[in-house]
Amino acid sequence: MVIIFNRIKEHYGLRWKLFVGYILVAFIPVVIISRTINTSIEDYFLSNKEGELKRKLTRIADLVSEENYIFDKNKSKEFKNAMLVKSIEESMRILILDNKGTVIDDTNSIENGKVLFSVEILEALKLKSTSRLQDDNITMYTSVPIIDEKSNIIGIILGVSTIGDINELSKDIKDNLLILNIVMLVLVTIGVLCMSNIIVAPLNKLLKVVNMMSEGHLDQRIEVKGHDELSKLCIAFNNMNDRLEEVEHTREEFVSNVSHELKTPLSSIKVLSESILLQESVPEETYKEFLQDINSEVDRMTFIVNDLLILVKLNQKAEVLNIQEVELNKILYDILKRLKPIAEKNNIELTFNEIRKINVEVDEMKLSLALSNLIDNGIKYTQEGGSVKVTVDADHQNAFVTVSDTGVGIAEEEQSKVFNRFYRVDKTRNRGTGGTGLGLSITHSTVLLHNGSIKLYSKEDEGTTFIVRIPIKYTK
Amino acid sequence: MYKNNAFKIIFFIILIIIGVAIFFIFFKNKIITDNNSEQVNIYFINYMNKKIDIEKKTISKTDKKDKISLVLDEFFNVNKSNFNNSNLFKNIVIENVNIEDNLVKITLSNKYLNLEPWEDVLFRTLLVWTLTDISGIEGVTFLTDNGKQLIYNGEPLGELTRNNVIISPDMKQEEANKHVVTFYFVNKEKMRLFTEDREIEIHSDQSLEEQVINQILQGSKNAYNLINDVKLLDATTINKTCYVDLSSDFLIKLKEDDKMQELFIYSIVNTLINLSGNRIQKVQFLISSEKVNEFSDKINLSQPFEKNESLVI
Repeated sequence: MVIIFNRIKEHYGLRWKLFVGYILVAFIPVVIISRTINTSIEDYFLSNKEGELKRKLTRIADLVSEENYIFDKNKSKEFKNAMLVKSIEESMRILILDNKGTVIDDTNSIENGKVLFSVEILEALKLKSTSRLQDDNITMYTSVPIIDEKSNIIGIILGVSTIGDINELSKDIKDNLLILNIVMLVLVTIGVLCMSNIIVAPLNKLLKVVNMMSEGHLDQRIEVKGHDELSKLCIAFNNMNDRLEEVEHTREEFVSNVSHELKTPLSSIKVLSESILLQESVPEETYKEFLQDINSEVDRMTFIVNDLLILVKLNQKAEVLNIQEVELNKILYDILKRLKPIAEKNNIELTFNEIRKINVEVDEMKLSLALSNLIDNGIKYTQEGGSVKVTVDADHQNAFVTVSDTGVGIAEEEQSKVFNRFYRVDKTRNRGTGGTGLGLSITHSTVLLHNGSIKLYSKEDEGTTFIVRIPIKYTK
Repeated sequence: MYKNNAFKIIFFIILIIIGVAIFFIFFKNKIITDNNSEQVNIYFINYMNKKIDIEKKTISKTDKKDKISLVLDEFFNVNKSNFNNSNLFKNIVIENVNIEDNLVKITLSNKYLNLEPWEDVLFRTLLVWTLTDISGIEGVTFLTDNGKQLIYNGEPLGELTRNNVIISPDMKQEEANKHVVTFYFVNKEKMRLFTEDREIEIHSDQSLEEQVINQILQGSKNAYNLINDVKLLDATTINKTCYVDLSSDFLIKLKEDDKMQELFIYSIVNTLINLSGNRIQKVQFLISSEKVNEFSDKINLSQPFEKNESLVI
C-alpha cells in the first residue's frame, strides 16, 4: 500500500499534490457539510413529527377525559370503537392506561389488562408529554397525560407510530447527496487532472529545456503562451538564456581576444629572439634594439594581464572599495597635470572647467584611473590642433564629470560596444594608438561599482563626449 | 529507531492496562463472589440513558426470607441513589414480608395510598421485577396493613408477575388490528334486523366506515343478502354525518323489494352509528355521488338517517 502510494506520488508529483489539496480543502468539508445537512433535516422532520404526535394525542386525551371513558363502564364499547377510529385516522397504535399503569384499551388488542412501564409512561404520570425514538430507530413512543377538570392525572395515552416515512426521506436525501458527492469527486478529479496539465505541461517543457541546457545546448528557448505567472517564468527563463548565451559569447570573445592580444606580443618576442639566436654574429646595437623590443612586448603583456586582473576583480565585485571623501576637482586636476605634456606634444588643447568644487565619497585610486582612461582616450583620438575639455559639475545628489573632445568620433553602430573588453573601433587594432583595449571597460566597471553611470555622445569626425555620473554619497 | 521502539513499548503497555481494566470491570463481580455470597439484580430507572437498568449487588447467601429482606434493602438504596432523590419512596413502609410457595406477599403501611401515581407505579414495577429475579419467586402481591389486597378502581390489584407487568415494552405499530364490530343484518325472514358481532381485521389504508360497509355489503350467511353486488364508492364522516356513496345498483336492488328498503337502509345506518359512539350521529346516502331526491313514498333518500332500534329483533 505504501509502495503504491509512493509510486503515485512520484509519478504524478504536482498533480498528486493538487488532487490531495482539493480533497483536503474542498471535498472533505463538502462531505462533512452534506452529512450535517442530512442530520439537520432528519432532526427537523423528527422534531416536527414529535410535535404532531403530541398534538394528536392531546386531542384524543381531551376526548377521553370529556367522555369519561376511563371510569364510565357503560361506554366501554363506544370507547373502544372511538379509539379504533382514531387509531386508523391518525395511523398509529393507541394504548390508554389508567393512572396505575394498567392498560385499559390497546387498539391492537395485545396488552389489554397488563401493567406497562417505561420512561415515557413515567414522564406522563408526572404530567409531562414525551416523545422518544426507540432503539430500533423506527418506532416512536409518544405519551400524553390524561387529566380531569381539576388537573389530576386520571390516565395516560401512549401512541406507537413509525417514522418509516422520515427514514425513507432521509435515505433518499442521503443517497442523492452521496451520488452528488461521487459525481462531484469524479468531475473535479477530471477537472484537477486537466487543470494540473495546464500547470504541469509548461513546467515539464521548462524541465526538458533546462536538461538540454545543462547538456550544453544553450540555444534552447521556451514558447511563451498566456500572461500568467508561468508565462512570466518562461519569459524570465528565455531572458536568462539570452544573457547566458551573451555571457558565453562574451567569454568566447574574451578568450579569443586575450589569446590574440597575448599571442601578438608573444609572436614578436619569438621572432625577435629567434632572429638573435639564428644569426651568428649580431652587433651589440642590434642585440640592444631587439632586447628593448622584447622588453616592450613583455611590458605590454604585463599591462594587459594587470588590466585584465583589475577588470575581473571589478566585475566579480570582489574588489573592496576604499571609500573616502575626496575632492573630485583635485583628482581631475592631478590627472590633467599628468596628461598635459602628452596633450601639448600633440598640440591638443586641454582645458578644465570647474563649475563648482565637489567632495565625493569614492575610491580615489580607482576613480582616478577610470577618469584618466577617459581623458587619455580623448587625447589619443583627437587630431593635432584639436581640444579636450573636462568639466566638473554637481547637483544635490550626484557629481558629473564631462570629457569632451573634438576627435575622430565614434560611429553610431559602434557606440554600444566601446565599453566591451578589447573592443577597438579600429578593427585592425592599430597599436600605434597604444593601450590594451581594456581602458573603457575598466572605466565602465569602476563607475558602476560606485553606483554611477556613464553616457556617451559621439559623431564621426566631430568628436566624442563622455558624461560620468557619480553619487556624492556612496551607498552599498 | 530507538524512538520507534519506545513508542511501541508504550503502546503495548497501554493496551495491557486497558485489557486489565476491561477484565476487571466485567468480571469484577465474579471474582469477588465466593461461596458465601451471591449476586442479585436490582432494577432501577436510569435517567441518563432513559431506560430501566440493572445494578448487580452482592449479598450473603441465606434463606429465602432473609434474602428477600436483603434484596429489599438494596432495592431502596439503589433506587434512591440513582434517582438523586433521597425522598424517593419516603412514604413506603414495608410492614411485613411473607412468602407463600412462589409468591411474595408484601404488606405496606396505609401511607402508601397517598403516594403520587408515578411513585406508586415506579415502585411496584421495579420491585416486582427485582423480586421475581430471585430463583423460586414468580409473583408479588401487595397488601395494606389490614391484610387486604390493594384496590385500584374498585378492583383488587391481584398477583403481579412478569407476565402482567411489562417493563420497557417492545411494541410495534404494524401488528394486525382486529376489532369486534356489531353488524346489523336483515334476517332471513325479511322482517327485522338482527345483530351479529364479528371480529374483523382493521387495515389502515381504508377508513373504518368503508371497511365496515364493505362487510355489510358482503352480507352474512345468517342473513338475507340482497345488496351483495352493490359497490361502495366512498364513505366519509363530516360533522358527525357519514356520507355513504353507493353505486346505482343500490337503488335498483331496493326497488326490487320495497318492503326491504327500510331494513337494508337501517342495516347500514345502525351499524355505522353504533360503531363509533358519538362520532357518527347521522348517515346521508349518495348514489353515484349525488343525492337522490325522488325514490319512494316511504323513503326520502335526500335526507340523513338516524339510528332506529325499533327494527331490531
